[in-house]
Amino acid sequence: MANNVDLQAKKRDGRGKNDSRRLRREGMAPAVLYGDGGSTAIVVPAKTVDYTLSHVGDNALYDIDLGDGASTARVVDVQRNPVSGILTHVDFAPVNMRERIEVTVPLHIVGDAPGVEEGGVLQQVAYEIQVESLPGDIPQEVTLDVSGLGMNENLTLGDISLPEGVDLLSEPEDVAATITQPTEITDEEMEAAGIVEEPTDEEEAAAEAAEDEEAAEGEEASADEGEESQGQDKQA
Amino acid sequence: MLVPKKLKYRKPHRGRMRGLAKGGTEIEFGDYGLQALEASWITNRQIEAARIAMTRKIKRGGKVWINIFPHKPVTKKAAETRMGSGKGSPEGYVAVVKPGRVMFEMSGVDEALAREAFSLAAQKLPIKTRVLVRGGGQ
Repeated sequence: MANNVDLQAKKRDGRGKNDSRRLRREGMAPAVLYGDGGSTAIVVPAKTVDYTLSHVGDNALYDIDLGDGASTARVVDVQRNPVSGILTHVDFAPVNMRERIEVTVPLHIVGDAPGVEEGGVLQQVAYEIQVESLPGDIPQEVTLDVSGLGMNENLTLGDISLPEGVDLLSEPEDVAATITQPTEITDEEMEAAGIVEEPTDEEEAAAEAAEDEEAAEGEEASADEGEESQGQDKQA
Repeated sequence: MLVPKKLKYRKPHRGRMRGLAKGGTEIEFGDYGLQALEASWITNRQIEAARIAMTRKIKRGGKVWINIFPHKPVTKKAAETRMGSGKGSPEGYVAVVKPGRVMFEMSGVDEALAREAFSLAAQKLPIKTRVLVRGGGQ
């Protein structure tokens, strides 16, 4: 885990939507710091928290100094505007560096699965796992190697190799990644939806060639019929 | 086509679509998502057309999730009918979508193909949308 982020936080006196909106306009985000003796309303620079969340991860540790001594904290909840992505509110919880804590760590897949070459779709089922570790040992992410995964096979959370001092809390039998058959649409579904399949260039060329052949055959046939009819006229 | 199995009321009020989506604003299942930027009713026909458009584009290469469902029946009066005489008859079903809602998700394809497929799907929808990528990209 990277070094702690020094957060220039201040205590927040104002409450309510008007004060919060004013803070957000100034590039700050309203936040709360939980504690044993009750929570403290604070205000933090939105840009710093946003950058740390996206570059260091959700489990980054922050040094928050409110004048009565610095305390180490981590983010436990983030609220964002779903359209603009602006931080609306952040929840911090203090961290005891000697006490093991439960955290969620992102899971990333590495390697090329043979099942994908057979036409399957690699589907990552679990994107996060629950682990327990000391705050200083929390990994930024854990990886799962799928190089031995074939069609219709699964890898479970128990197959993940975790760093030393980190214990898995999620169910080890839960599926982490699987290779499944791809989604297909049938001709009946296409007809029901009123979709007419447009022919490709090759199919169009083949259809034109077939039409030309038919036309040539038709001309020959009509020529033969004409000759026959002329012969019949002569006989008559 | 998506249709509710049973209804509590056949002719519900239309309601209002104020504010932003409360839930379903993040990618849950796949690697890419199509997010609504406007509020609208999305009909079950539009959902089906969008699904088929993107499934055809990705062919046999991926997996698609639909995160919205047309729970709400909509009514319509018959053509050339005078006003009054009660509410019209149910004509179809819609999903109420608010800004921020991730309507479709996809996985198992590369980003360029996912964006193309979502672009085709977005053309079947009556609202502005954008593509989300798991991990924060837009």
